[in-house]
Amino acid sequence: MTDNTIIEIINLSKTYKGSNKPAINNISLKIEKGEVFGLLGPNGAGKTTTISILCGFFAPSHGEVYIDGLSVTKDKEQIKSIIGIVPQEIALYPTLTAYENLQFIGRMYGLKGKVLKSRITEFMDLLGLDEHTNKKVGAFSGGMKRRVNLIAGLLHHPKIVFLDEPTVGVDVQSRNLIIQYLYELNKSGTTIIYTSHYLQEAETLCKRVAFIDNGNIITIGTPESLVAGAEACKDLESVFLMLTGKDLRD
Amino acid sequence: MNKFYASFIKEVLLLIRDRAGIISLFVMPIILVFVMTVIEDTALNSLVDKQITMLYCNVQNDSLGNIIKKGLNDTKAFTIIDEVDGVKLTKETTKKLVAEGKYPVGIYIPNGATDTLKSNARKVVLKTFADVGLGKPSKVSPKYDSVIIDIFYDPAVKNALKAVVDGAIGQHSSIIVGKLISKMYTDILSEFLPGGKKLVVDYPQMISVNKEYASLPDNTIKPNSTQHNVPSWTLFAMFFIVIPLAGSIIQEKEGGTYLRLMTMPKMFISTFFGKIVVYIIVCLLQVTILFSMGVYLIPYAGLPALQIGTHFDALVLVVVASAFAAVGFGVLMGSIATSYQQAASVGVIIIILASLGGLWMPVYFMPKTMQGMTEFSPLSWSLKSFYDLFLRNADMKDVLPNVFKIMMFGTGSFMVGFLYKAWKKVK
Repeated sequence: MTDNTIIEIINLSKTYKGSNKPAINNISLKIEKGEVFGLLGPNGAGKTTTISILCGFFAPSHGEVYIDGLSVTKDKEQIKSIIGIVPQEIALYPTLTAYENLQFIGRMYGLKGKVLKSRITEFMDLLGLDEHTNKKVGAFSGGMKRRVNLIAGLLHHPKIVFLDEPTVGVDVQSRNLIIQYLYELNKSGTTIIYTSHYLQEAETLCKRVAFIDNGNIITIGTPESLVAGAEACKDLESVFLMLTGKDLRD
Repeated sequence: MNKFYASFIKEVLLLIRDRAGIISLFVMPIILVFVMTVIEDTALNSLVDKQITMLYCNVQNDSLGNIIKKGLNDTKAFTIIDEVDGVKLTKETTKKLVAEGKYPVGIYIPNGATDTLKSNARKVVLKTFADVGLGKPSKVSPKYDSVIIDIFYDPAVKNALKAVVDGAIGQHSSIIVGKLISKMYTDILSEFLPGGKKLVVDYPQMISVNKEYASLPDNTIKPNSTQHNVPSWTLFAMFFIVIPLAGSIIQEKEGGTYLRLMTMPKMFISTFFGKIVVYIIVCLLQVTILFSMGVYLIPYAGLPALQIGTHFDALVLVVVASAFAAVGFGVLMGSIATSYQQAASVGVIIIILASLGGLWMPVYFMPKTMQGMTEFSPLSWSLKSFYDLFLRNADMKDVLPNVFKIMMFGTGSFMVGFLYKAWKKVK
C-alpha cells in the first residue's frame, strides 16, 4: 500500500450462501486519499455488496481489504470510526425529529454536548434544513430526507464516506445542493466512494470511476480517459452502455 | 455509557410516539385484565362459590323442615325462598316452578313429618326395650310410616348440584333422626327411674371437621378470579411486547437504520442493551400498573382485591425474570422474522403459549393430556411462581426452580437471536 492509498482491495470475492454465483468475483483496486471514486454498474452488478464489505457489514468470502492501513476483517471497530455511510435507504427514524435522529447518531459516534449540537446546527444550515430541525423526519419531502440522511453519515467528520446512490429520487434542487456540498466536502480532504445510476452526475463529480458488472470490474479510469478510449462514445453513459450492454437487468 | 444513553433515549422516544404500541402495551392489558377478571369471576363462581336459589316448601312450619332449612342455610351454598311473588309455596307450585326452568331445585317437606318421625322413633325404642324384657312385650312388629321428602330438580342441573342437595338433605335428615332416637331412649329410660327423676345424657360433639385451603402457614388467601386473572393477563401483556419489540427490530432492518447502526463503532451491545432495558422497564411498568389495578381498582367492581403475598423480594425476582424472558423472546423473533407481518403473526405463538400455560383457564380445568404440556410454556413457569407467591405464601427458595427455568428461556432466546444475526451477517 503506497502512502497515498487509503483503500486497497485485493482479490475480493463474495458468494452468498445458497447461491452458486459470486456477487463479486476476485476484484482488486486501489483508491487514493482525497479521491472521489465512482463505483458504477447496472442493478445486481455487485456495487452494494462491495460497499457493504468495505463498511464491515458483510464478511468477504475471500480476499483482503485495507482501509487506511487497517484490515476490514481484523480491525473492524477502528475502521468504523473513520468511515461514514450514506445508505441508499433513508436510514432514519421517521417519528423522531431531524435533531433527535442526528443527536442519536452523533452520540453513537462518541460526540456529545456543545460539539454535537454545533455540528448538527452547522450541517443543517449548510444543507438548507435549519428551519426544519425540530420537525419529524416522517413529515419531510424526499429531498429533505436525503439531505438529513447525508448529514447522518458525515456528522462525525469521517475520513472516508461511502455514498450509495445519495441522490436517488430527489428533485433537481436538492440533488444540486447535495452535489455542491460533496464537492466542498472533497475539497476539505474527505475521500468519497460513490455509487449511482446517474452517470452524468458521476462524470462531473468523480475523479475516477470503475464499471462493475456481474461481480467483475470491467474497466477503471478517469471519466475523460474512458470516454476518449471508447470509439463513438460522447459521454460516460454511452461508454457504460457499450461495456455493459443494453439488456435489461433484474 | 454515552452510546447506551443515546440508544435508551432513542427507544423511549420511538415508543412514546407509537400510539398503537402504547395502546397495545398499556391500555389493552388494563381492559383485558378487568374484563377477564369480571367474566371469569362469574364463571368460576357458578362452578364453585355462587349461591343457588332453592324453593323450599314447608307448609306447616314443621320442625324437621326448619332444621333441614337451617342446615342448608348453614352451607352458604343456597339462597332459600319459601314464597314467590308474595305467595307461599305449595307442593304443586314448587314442582311447577322448577319444571318451568325458573328455579333449579325445589324441596317439599310433607305435613306432619316431625310427628311421623317421632312416632317412628318411639316405636323403634319401645321395640328395643321389649326385646330385652323391659316394658310391654308386643306380639306384632310395629309398623313404621315413612317420611317422604320431595326434591324437584330442573333436568338441566348438573350432577354436582344434585349431589350437593342430596348430600345436604341426607346429612341433616340423619342427624335429626339420630337426635330423635337418642331423645326417645332418654325419655323412656327416665320412666324407669324412681322418684320421677329425669335422665340427662350429654352427647358431646365427637367429630369436628376443619376445612381450609391447602396453603402454607400464615396464608389464608382464597383462590379466586382476581388471583388467577390479574397475574395471568399481566403475563400475557408482558409477552405481548414481543410484537412491538420484534417490530421495532424489523423496522430498523427494513428501513436501513440497522445497516447504519452496524457500521457504527461498538454499536451492537449499546444499541441492543438500550432497547432491551427500555422494554424491560415497559414490562415492569405493566406489572406495576396491572397489579396496582388488581389491588386498588378491582374491588370497586365488587370483586376481591388481588393479594400479592408477603414475599416482595421473591415477587420482584419473578417479575424481572419474566420480563427478561419476554424481551429475550422479542429479540429472538425480531432477529428471525423478515417482515413486520411475520412479527405480528408471533401473536399466535403467544396465544398458544398462554393457553398451554394455563393463562386462559386454570390448569386443573384442562384435560390430563394438556396438563402435561403446560410444562413446555415459559408463561406457565411464571404463572406457577405467581400462584406460589400469592396463594401458597411461597418464598424466594420456593420460586427459584421456576425462576431458573424462566431465566434460561430468556438467555437462550437472546443467544439464539444474537447468533442468528451473526450467522446472517456472515452468510
